[in-house]
Amino acid sequence: MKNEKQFLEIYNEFSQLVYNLSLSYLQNIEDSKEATQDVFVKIHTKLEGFNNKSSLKTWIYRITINHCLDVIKSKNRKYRLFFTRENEDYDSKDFNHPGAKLESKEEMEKIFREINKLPEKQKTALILKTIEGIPQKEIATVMKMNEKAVESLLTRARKKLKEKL
Amino acid sequence: MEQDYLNKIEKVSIPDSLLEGIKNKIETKRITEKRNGNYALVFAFALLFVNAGTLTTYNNTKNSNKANQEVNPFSINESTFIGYE
Repeated sequence: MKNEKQFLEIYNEFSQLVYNLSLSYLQNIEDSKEATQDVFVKIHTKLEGFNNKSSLKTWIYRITINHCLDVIKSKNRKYRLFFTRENEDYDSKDFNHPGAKLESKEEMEKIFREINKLPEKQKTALILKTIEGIPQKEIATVMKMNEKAVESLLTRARKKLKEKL
Repeated sequence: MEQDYLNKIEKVSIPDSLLEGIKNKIETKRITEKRNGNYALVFAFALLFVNAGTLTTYNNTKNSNKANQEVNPFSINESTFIGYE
């Protein structure tokens, strides 16, 4: 019962964070809803084992990021099973981000298509910094890296995007 | 350029129905795990019984073979000696 109460408190505090972060990765309302639900089921299952080594927020960030990356991998695997063209992923075809304003939706779709092509770590650093607005130090903790490594990931990601766009 | 656009992404509020969905998924997971646990228990018992049965059969066969090999002097009849004369 104590756990249920704690779980509801966590849900109230972090559900928006999890949903918006999922949207940044998946760019699709339905997939993000599903991912948010799955992330909270994982949190519920693992809550007893959470040992306070990192902060709760960092822990939730990690679960969400790992889950979203798994969803993308699984979707791409399924897509490639039927359509064997390389460099064409399912997730770039399904843009439906409710946070993107209508007038800039087309540009946004183009940007996200290029973000989706970035390597996982660069993508994560860029999303956390630019969309979520998390300080670099916190990103380093979430990604289990030092700040310089995060800086380098961000520089490389921005450079690649600049070349493509 | 991309930075300007990405900074403009608005935070979206969470749909109301989500918590209900999470509760349902947790309940489904709990039931599935319980059922799987029961299946595992039944399977373990079935394996135990099969093993016990196999062992009993093996022992019975072993005993019966042993008994067959022992010569019962009272069971020797005349036909046993045919050809020795």
